[in-house]
Amino acid sequence: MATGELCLHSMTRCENNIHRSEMKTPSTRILVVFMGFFFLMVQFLGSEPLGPAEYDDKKSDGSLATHAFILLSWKLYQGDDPDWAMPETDDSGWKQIENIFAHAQPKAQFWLRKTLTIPMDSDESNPLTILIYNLPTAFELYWDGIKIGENGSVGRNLEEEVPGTTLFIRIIGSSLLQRGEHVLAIRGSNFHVKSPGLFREITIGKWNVINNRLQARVYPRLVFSGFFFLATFLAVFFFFRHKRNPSLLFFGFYTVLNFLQTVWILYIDSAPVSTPFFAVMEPLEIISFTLSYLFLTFFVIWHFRLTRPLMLSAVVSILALSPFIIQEQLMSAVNTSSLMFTAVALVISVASTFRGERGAVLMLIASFSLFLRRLILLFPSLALYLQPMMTSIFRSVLLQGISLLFFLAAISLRIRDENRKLHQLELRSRRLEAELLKKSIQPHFIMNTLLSIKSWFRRDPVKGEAMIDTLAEEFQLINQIMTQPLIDISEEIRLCKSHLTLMGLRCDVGFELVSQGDFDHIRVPPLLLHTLIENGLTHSYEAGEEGTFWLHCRKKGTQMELTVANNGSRIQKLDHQSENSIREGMGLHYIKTRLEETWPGNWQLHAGVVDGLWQVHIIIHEGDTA
Amino acid sequence: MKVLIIEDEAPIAYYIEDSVRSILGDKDMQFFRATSPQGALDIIGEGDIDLCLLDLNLSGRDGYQILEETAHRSFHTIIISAHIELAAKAFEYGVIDFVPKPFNQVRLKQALDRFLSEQRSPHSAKYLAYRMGNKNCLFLVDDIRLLKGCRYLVEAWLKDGKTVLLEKSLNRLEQILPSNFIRIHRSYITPLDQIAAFEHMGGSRYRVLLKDGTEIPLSRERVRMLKNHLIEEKE
Repeated sequence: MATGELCLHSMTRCENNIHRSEMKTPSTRILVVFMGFFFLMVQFLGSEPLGPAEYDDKKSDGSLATHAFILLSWKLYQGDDPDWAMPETDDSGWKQIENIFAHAQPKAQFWLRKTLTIPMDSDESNPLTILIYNLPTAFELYWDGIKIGENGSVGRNLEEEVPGTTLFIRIIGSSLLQRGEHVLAIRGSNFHVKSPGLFREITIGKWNVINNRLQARVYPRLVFSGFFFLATFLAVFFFFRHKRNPSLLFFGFYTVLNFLQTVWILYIDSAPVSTPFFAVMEPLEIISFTLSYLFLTFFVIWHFRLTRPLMLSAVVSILALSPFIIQEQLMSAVNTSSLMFTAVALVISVASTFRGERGAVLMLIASFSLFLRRLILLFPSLALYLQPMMTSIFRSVLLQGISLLFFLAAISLRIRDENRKLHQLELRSRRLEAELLKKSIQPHFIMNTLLSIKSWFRRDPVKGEAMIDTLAEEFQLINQIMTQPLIDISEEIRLCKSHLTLMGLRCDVGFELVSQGDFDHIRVPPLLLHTLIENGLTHSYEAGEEGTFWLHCRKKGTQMELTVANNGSRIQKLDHQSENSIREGMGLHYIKTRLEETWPGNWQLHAGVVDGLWQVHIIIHEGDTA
Repeated sequence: MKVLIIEDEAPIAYYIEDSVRSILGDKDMQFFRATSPQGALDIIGEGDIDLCLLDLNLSGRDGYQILEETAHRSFHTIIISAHIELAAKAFEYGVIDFVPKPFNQVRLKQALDRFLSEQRSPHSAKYLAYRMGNKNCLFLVDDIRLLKGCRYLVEAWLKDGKTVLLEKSLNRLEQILPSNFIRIHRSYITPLDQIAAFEHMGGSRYRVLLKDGTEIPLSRERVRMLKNHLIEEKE
């Protein structure tokens, strides 16, 4: 850069840093508020009277009266024989499963047997109940050899088998129930399942406990379906107000898909069992499930305004959807895929938190909850170690609830920031208008011009008249353009020519403006070029020196280049120090503010001597006009 | 009379010249015009300017530069400018009047009358200047003990003991000095607070005694004026 040159560019990054450090405290406040909501929610959802996972015979402390137990250890045999229902049957040769949740179902007919010790007598008003949830595909229940219930129709092959419903409850009749040892046997088959997963829940407990458990499944889901529905509505509404960033739209997709899934789960109870529990097997459900996580990751990517979001989203999608191609088991592919999506969201949130981004902590908590949820469902044995928190269905809904709340918190924070920014922009616009007005009808300019007109009256009244006409024209033009943030460049050129005519009459020399280039559809802030020309007239020319201004405009794709040059002789003999201080005067400040208001972060200004002319060169990257 | 007009816009410069001519009538006058600080200094260096009419905003430059350069000169300056916010500072340098643009004939006449009739400036100077070698030096008016008129120059006796030479005549200095500076004699001006006493030497001779011990003559015509000032001060 030659001496005397000046180079400016947008200061947005710097402003952002200041903005960030000023505003850290309100984010904590929001965090506290939402933590409060979270704890309230925990209270609302209540505590689940589910005791230790296994019913321990030796501890006959009557806890069966108040708790329900998931039955974990069973004896398994692949095959079919009606005698196996009998209590007397010798099942010592059967396979002992310690944790039924960790054991894969055989794709065949099978029998499960278990011996229980019931510590109390039956109670008609509150009978003992068995709850079987999502045990594919069909089974029969035997208590001490007596068939007490069946779900669907057990068959020897696919054609014979009729799938049962997802939810199965059976009250054990009082006649069957006395204190002492009993044998529970299940005869099942699962030919309808494409790829059998792990065994699922078989629970025993008193009716009121089981009933509570069922209610506890439904109510939170109803609440959440409401949350998700509302969140979708809000997300879409606010998206249309802030159309620039699609993050809200992606969040809307995420919540609507979750809404559908939440509602679907409520209906699944009466649906025929043909699937393992993690997610429903129908392709639509898999797609919606996977898509919801895909959209969630897109939401996170766009929320944090990462660079090249499209490419990043494409890469993440390909990577996270690859398990469907690589892995054979569809269920594990679904799990891996959703885990990868949430992992990406988590990593982005962590990185953003370290970068000190506003509201990143909220996103971090939300992403972590989701990630944890996926992780736990992937390792049910892990879930067992965290029991009783994680084993029950509604607890995993709790994690999702946390994530939803914190995502909404982050979004609210973002919306509030945007509103604040908009408000500031409005204020700045109004300030700029006032500045423009002050600039265009500066007292000094008017006083000098009026005196000049007076001067012409005596010597050459015609010129005096011409001055008055030109002054009126200039004011008219300014009046027309001053309230608009952008005007067509042809109007600005007209204004500049008028001003040059006026100044020519004042200085009694000729000033002209030569415009070169393509000026179609070019829009600039009002008085941008006028200010440059004013500066040029004031600083570049000696008294009595005539001058020419050249305006050159070029548009290359989304880039616009404006050049204003003049042939003032004073420029050649610049005293650099004093000129620099003059440059930072009001004119350049106005130009900087206008450029930043219109194309924030996307402009550059260079000033200096080029080919013997004083040249001001402005480069604008359009695309994101405010 | 030689008048220098420092104004970069030609029509206005001619208008000022025409106005001054018509106001001052048939006086024998010579007008000079400068459009830049350097041009002005060149003209000033050549001859004895009596009056300078100065625009403070010459082609965007800082007009005070010229004021600082010319403050030590013998001529008076009248500012003609649209920048009225610059007036206060201009008066500190000892200009005799500030005429805002656009001016009318009445206002300009008022300023010219002030110059011609040796009336006091509406605001007194804060600084005076003298030339030392190539440098222009400013000093505070408050630092003056005594001003003594010599043949072509004025001696300024300062409180720190220094004595400097000023180009402006005592008459012209009197116009821009604050009202507490008293012309006690054709050749002496002193601030009131420096006067310790005055005494009648007999006949028509009077003498003022300064606080530092200096004795200076006091004109008989000005005795009464001095008395009045001293009485006012006591009150």
